[in-house]
Formats: sequence, C-alpha cells, structure tokens
Amino acid sequence: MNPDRRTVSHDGPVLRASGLAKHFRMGGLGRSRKVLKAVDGVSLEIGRGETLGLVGESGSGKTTVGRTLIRLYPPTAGTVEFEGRDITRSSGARLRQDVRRRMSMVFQNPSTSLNPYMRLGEALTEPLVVHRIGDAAQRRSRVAEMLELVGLDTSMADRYPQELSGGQRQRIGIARALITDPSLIIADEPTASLDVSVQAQIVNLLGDLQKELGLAYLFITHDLALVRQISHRVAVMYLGRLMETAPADALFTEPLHPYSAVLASMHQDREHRIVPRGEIPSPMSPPSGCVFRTRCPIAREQCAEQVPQLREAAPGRSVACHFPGELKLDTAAASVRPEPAELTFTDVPPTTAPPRPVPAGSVPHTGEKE
Amino acid sequence: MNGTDTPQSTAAAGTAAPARTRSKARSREILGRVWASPTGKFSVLMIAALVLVACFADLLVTHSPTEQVLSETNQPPSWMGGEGGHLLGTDPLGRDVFSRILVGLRLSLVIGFLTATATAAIGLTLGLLAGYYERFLGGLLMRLADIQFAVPFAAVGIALAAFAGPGIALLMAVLAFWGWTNYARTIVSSVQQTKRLDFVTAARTAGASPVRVLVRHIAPNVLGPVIILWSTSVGTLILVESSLSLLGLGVQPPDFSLGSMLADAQKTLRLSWWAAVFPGVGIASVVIAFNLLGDSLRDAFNPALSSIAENDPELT
Repeated sequence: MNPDRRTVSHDGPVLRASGLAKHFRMGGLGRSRKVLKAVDGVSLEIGRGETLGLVGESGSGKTTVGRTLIRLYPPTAGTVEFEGRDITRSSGARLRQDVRRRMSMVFQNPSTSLNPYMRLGEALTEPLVVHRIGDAAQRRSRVAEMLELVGLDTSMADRYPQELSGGQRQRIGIARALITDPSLIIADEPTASLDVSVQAQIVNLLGDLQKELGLAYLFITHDLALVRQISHRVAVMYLGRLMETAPADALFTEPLHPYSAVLASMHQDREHRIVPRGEIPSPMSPPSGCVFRTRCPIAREQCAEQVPQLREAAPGRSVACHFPGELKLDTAAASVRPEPAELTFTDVPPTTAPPRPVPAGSVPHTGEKE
Repeated sequence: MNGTDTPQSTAAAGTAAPARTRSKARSREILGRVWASPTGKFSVLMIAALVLVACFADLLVTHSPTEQVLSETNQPPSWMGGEGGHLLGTDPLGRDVFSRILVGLRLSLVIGFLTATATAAIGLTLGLLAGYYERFLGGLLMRLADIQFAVPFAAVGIALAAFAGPGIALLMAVLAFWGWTNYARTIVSSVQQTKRLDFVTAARTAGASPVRVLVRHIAPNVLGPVIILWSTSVGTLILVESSLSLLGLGVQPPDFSLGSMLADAQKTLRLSWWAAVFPGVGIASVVIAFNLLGDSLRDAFNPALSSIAENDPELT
C-alpha cells in the first residue's frame, strides 16, 4: 500500500457528485420496457469533517443516492469525485483502494447488518483482511481499539451478533465502518430502528467520532428534528431529485423551496403547517417539469413546462425552483389554502396514485427497502 | 488528515495463516457442539461403530461371505433352530447372511457417504452461483435443472451402462452429478434473499470479493438445508444403488452391497425372510445414524441456537 496516500493534500470537498443519475430498468421488453429513474440530476458536495443530512420521504431515492455514491452500482449518468479522484467508473483494485477502504457504510437495521454466523471479532476484522492490513496480532489490537472507541467491551469480539442488544449491534456496525480509517461514512437511517434513548446514544457517538477522527457523514434520514440537530448542511430530495441544499438552520428558518417550506413547517404549530396536496406520485411516471408541482401550493404553468435546474441561490445554498423563497413560513400559512382553480394542467397524473409498481424482486442488487 | 494511526500493511503471506487457524478453530467448535449434544454423540458413536465393523469385517466374519454351501440353503438363524451355526441364517445360495452384511456394509457406506458428499458439494456450489448471479447464470442453471427433472434417471442409467459398461465408480459419478438439482433448487431462493441483506452489502462496501461474500457470508446462512439433504440422501443413495444394479449399472455379482442383498432376497422373501430383513436393518441403522448426525450438525452450525442456549438457562 502506498504509504503516502494519507498525506496527499485534498483541499476540496471530500466528495463531490454532479449530475448524478441512477436509473433501473424494470420488466418489459423492447419499447414497453420501463425505466425507474430512482435518482436524477443530483449534485452535492460534502466537506471534510462535515455532516450532510439527506432528507426525503420514502421512495425519494435517498438510499439510492447513498448506494450510488459508495459505488455499490455504477451511476447511469453524472460523475462522483472522492478525495480528489474521479471514482465514477473505477473498478477492481482502483475501486478497492480508492473507495472501499476510504468510504464505508452504516446501516439502518442492526439485526440484518451483521452476519449471524460470524463472531463479531471476525466481522470487524474482515475489512482488514480484505485490504491486507496488518498481521493477526495487529488486527486483534485494532479490533480491540475500535471496540473501545465505540464504547464496547473488548470481550465482545468473541460473541455472536444475536447475543447483543440493538444499540450494541449498531455500535459494532459503526466500529466495522471505522476500522479501515475512512474519511466518509454513508449512514443510512442509522437510528431509525432503535429505541429513542438508544438513538440519542448513537447520535452522540457519531458526533464524538466526527470530532475525534475528522469524519464526514452523509446522514440519510427522514427524521427532520434529528437532521436539524446533527447536520451542518441539509439536502432535500423529492422523487429522485434534489430540491434544495442549505445550511441546516437556514433550511428550517427560511426555506427557499416550497417543499423545504413544507418540511420546515412541520416543526410549527398545527395551524401553521403547510400540508401538501395529494400523495407522492409514482416514480415510474413522474410529473412533467418540476416533480413537486402536483403537490406544490404555488405551482403555475411554467412549473409543468420547465424542469427547474438546481442553481446557487446564496453561498452554500442551491435550490431547484422557478420561484424560490415565494412560499414562506408562518405568513405563508395564510396564503397556503390551495387555489388551484386558475391552474390547468393537462397532464396531471391521477392523485389517487395506483399502487406503486415497484416489484421488490425486479431491481437486482439494490437492497432498496423503501 | 487527522493523526490516528492505521495498522501498517504487511506481506500478503502473513494473512493466510490466521485465516486457516480460525477456520480450524471454527470446525473444532462445531464438532465440539455435535459431541456435546446427546443425539450428536449417539450418531457419531454409531457411525464410528459401523465404519469400524466395515473396516474389520474380514476379522469378524464367521463364514466366507461368498462361499455357496448348497447343503445349507435358506437356513434360518441359529437361534431359531437353523443348522450350520449361521447367526443370521443363510440365503437361497447357502451364503452366511451375517458375514455378508458385515462385508456388504463396506460398499454401501462408501457409496452412500461419498456420493452424498460429492452431490452436496456440487449442488451447494451451483446453487450459490445460481442464486448470486441470478439473472443469467441462475436462469440458465435453473432451466437446466427443469430439463433434467423431466428426464428419468433410469433412462440415462441404462444408456450409460450400455455405453460405458457397468461399474461402481461410473455409477457413483453419475449419481453425484445427477443429484445437484435438489440442492440447488432448495437453496437458490435463500441465496437470493441472503445476498440482499445488509451484512452482504457491508462486506461488499468493505471491498470483499464475490468469492469471499459467497463462501464466508452466504454459504453459512444456507448450509442448514444442505446438511439435512446430505444426511437423508446417504440412505436414499444406498437404496438407489441397489435398484440400479438391476439395470446393469452399479454393483455386479460377485460384488455385493447391503442394497444388492436386499434386492436379491426380495424374490425369496417367503422362504428366507432373514436374508432380506437383516440387510434392511443394516441399511436402517446407517440411515438413522446419518440422519441424527445431520440434525445435530445443522444445530451445531447455527450459533444462534447453541450460543444463546449456553448463556441462557431458560432456553436449554
């Protein structure tokens, strides 16, 4: 292994994705073949030691973004740059050295993220074995070091996962993610299946580790309160597209995108909440133009015709909306009463959405749970 | 970057040895658990006894197993008043049933154990590959299995016997290759499910190769049914061998196995039931021993069953 690789200076962000798209081919043959645009045109940056919260409802493609960034599958379009290297098409040894070793993942469900047939010490050692790091004794001490780092007893190495509680297992998952000393962790709903008290412990642990090790996180979640608390910046996704990226506080106090305003208003009293119309459309047949227009309180004709591009609205903020900042919090509540009479969309998909045509088995290898 | 120390990489040679000792420790642990369970201990002892008897059959026989004494045909067991001191009687050709069982056990055990193990290995490998590469290879292998399912084995057996002549080695090879579909069909969907679990994704994001993922993560999770199929097929194969001997494939006289003894004696069941029943008892003990071993092996492989039980007195 090149001993210099850790001293290479990277001044830019740890990760930069631009125009990222991931489409899945679904069933059907020839012309009837359908394409699920799980992610389309997503551009984001994560700075060193920064937490970027990625929020969105189920089916918005946030898990797919995480899995595409970590190169579980190659992106359909766009580029991913990690630690200054283009990893969009990396494969084989390059992929292993540039990505697998330096970027890792923490999973939602601690009961499926550990192999029940492997002792925890073995599970923790695996990344070291794969990357040929250290000898047996060094690996053992590294495992012990990691267990202590995440607040577990070193004797845990001899246990099997099913002997541990959910919180303990999640700590093991974090230790495994950290053992090759990565610079970026993709955390996919790491607290969603834990008890509230355990949730807080895991969130604190992740925060402490960030301070200690200078880690960057892509924190994927649907928990708005949590994302505001832990993120430096937040990216909002809807139906596979990025709606807005903004510093966490700014997003929740003065959102620019109507969808961000909807999310931010959920923190407020019931009467000030902005409730969008209808249901999230099927990702198999997204609306024309802006994907949010069918539910947007301020949608007009332009929204159906033109896809709003993600553009910089202020330093560190970008938004994909033709009318950014128009829908405001609080005062907005009054004007929200949707008055869609003047709007005529010719091709609005039925709001009584048909059952989501995403057969679980037909997307190979994604593990997409949402 | 921050200053935390990374373990330094060493020569690749250093990585192989601990992996080997670990898998050795793991198999010792599994065997230990088998031995610790009553059924496991019983089945191991029973198989050991059967193997010992088969190995030292030449020393234990009371008569020559192949010599035909035409003056003593169809003699009942000596404790039923039979003449000539045959412990389990004689068959219609006057051969000592007891001695033939001891010697016939040898071939039956070899056929049952080796064929079942080879089939399990082939079936497990193909099933893992079919489940992991489910789109192309999986589709291909499973359609192949469907086709094979439609072809009667007897037809293939007769064709092969005509083509290559009878022979026990050929029979075992054919049986070993024929049986893979059972295993592959059984595990292919579990493989497909397991490969989507997060721990497999975790291994892949850590850089593990497909071989590593298959061997260390997926295989242990689908091994339970394979062990059970393996242990039950030991008995089935012993019987299949005897029915194929009739087709001219497999064991031919003067060689014999428990299966061929059973098949021969069926014809004279009313004259000398002992010549059929006692080889049957022999096959039954092999079957029972392997089934019990399979059960306790499967349980021993599953740390969820054994390790919790060790630590939680309420679960034992």
